[in-house]
Amino acid sequence: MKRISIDRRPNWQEKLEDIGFTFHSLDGVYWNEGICYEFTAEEIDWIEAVTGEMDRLCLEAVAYVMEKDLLEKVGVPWRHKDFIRESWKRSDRSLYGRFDFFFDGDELKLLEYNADTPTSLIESSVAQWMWLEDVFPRHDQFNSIHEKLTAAFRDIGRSMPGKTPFYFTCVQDHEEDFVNVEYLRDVALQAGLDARHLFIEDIGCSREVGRFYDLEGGEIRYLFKLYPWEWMLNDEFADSVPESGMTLFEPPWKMVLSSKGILPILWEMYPDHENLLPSYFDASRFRGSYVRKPLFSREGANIFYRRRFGRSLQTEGTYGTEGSIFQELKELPCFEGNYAAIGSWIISGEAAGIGVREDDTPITRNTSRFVPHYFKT
Amino acid sequence: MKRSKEVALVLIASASLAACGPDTQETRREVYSSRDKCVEDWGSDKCEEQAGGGYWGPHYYFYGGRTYFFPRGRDNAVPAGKDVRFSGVPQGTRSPRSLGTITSTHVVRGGFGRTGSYHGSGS
Repeated sequence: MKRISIDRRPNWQEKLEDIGFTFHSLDGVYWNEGICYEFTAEEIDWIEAVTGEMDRLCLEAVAYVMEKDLLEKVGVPWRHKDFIRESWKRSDRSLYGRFDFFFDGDELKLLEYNADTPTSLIESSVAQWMWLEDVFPRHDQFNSIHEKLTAAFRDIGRSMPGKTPFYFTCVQDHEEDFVNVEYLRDVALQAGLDARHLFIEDIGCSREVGRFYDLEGGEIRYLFKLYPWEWMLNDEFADSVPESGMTLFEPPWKMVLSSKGILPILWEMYPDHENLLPSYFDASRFRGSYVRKPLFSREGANIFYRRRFGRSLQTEGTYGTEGSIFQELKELPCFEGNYAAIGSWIISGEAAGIGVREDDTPITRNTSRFVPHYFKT
Repeated sequence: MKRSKEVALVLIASASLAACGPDTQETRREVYSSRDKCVEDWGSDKCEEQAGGGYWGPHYYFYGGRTYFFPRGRDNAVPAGKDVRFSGVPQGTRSPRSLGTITSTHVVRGGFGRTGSYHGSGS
């Protein structure tokens, strides 16, 4: 894995905006045009294999959580336990997720799993692919995200009754979320679905009928939500969701995996696994350095780096009252002052591609820069 | 296979797709004074007793001149066949056995989105 400086493409901003990637310069630099990462084919094969292995372990961990009744331990509200449990029993289909890895060429470790609402999708799927074709057309990229999403939506479409609309929802006034959801809707349209957008604030509920509706009164039977389960189950309409009959993506059982509580459970099930980091619900298990992560923190908020030697770090945010986990500190590899993390996508149970995020600090946040990659075959 | 073959986009490049009109399927339920009347319309396993009294039939909607209903909560809608007496009730009229119809016009909005009002939802 090497970090390489290259020439910026002329009109790169226009190229990104043409595909709907409008937030490329959020907070100064988000898409880092003049930089890329080079991997070897062996490194990519390794990441691909470990991504598949982590998916397998995570599914076993959900089964373990259900069997041992650990739902509250990972942050599922007690009154929604049956709802989550039923979803798992039904084997409700999952569309996608993104594992975040530490990788330095010698070690590959799971940092966390964004199982419910992973973003940076259009940049991983389309933007960096177009970059590759412009800049390194003779090299390859670990990226079949677009095809795998299309195939997944085709498959979902086959299981739906004809003419049933499939809704895509996210919060209003958040450009990045909207672009991610519009990208997914685009893919679903190509896969033949009647894909419609609806802001989550506009979803209507009839308590008498016990169903959810769009702005025209059409019933919502299928819903992709870029809105975390722990928020949805805390909102006013929460109690109507289980009986509504909606098919939701990601499915309710994914709340178990989107909790950082899955990390100590994985470590308990697979101690000393070479791709896992020691993680516990209790900080006293560490004598030296550790990272404290709230169960449902997002985009690097409320992370505390406790270094035995050196300065500790803490990020701001509004998470943490739900409880935290403690993970062995594995500081990201630093390339000329840039700390890089690998985001590895899993779609319908298959490893689908990666994106690299880098930051000036060892904590990857919502402002961390996205950097394209290639590998030599 | 690691390499993409194509990454074509249709939505962002073609705003005209958004102009397609929606096929709304307003969902309804019939309210009955007794279980017998409900069973007469829908069959024995499709009626639900309400805490406030009375019985409700299954969720249904009209589409393409036919009645579709949801046999159980999570199942997909199926066309109401001849064995379902309610299928003979024309759209715009009411079953003589029903007390009334609840429709999705009793809809409130804004019950999602408040928890995340200060955040984006991505991770």
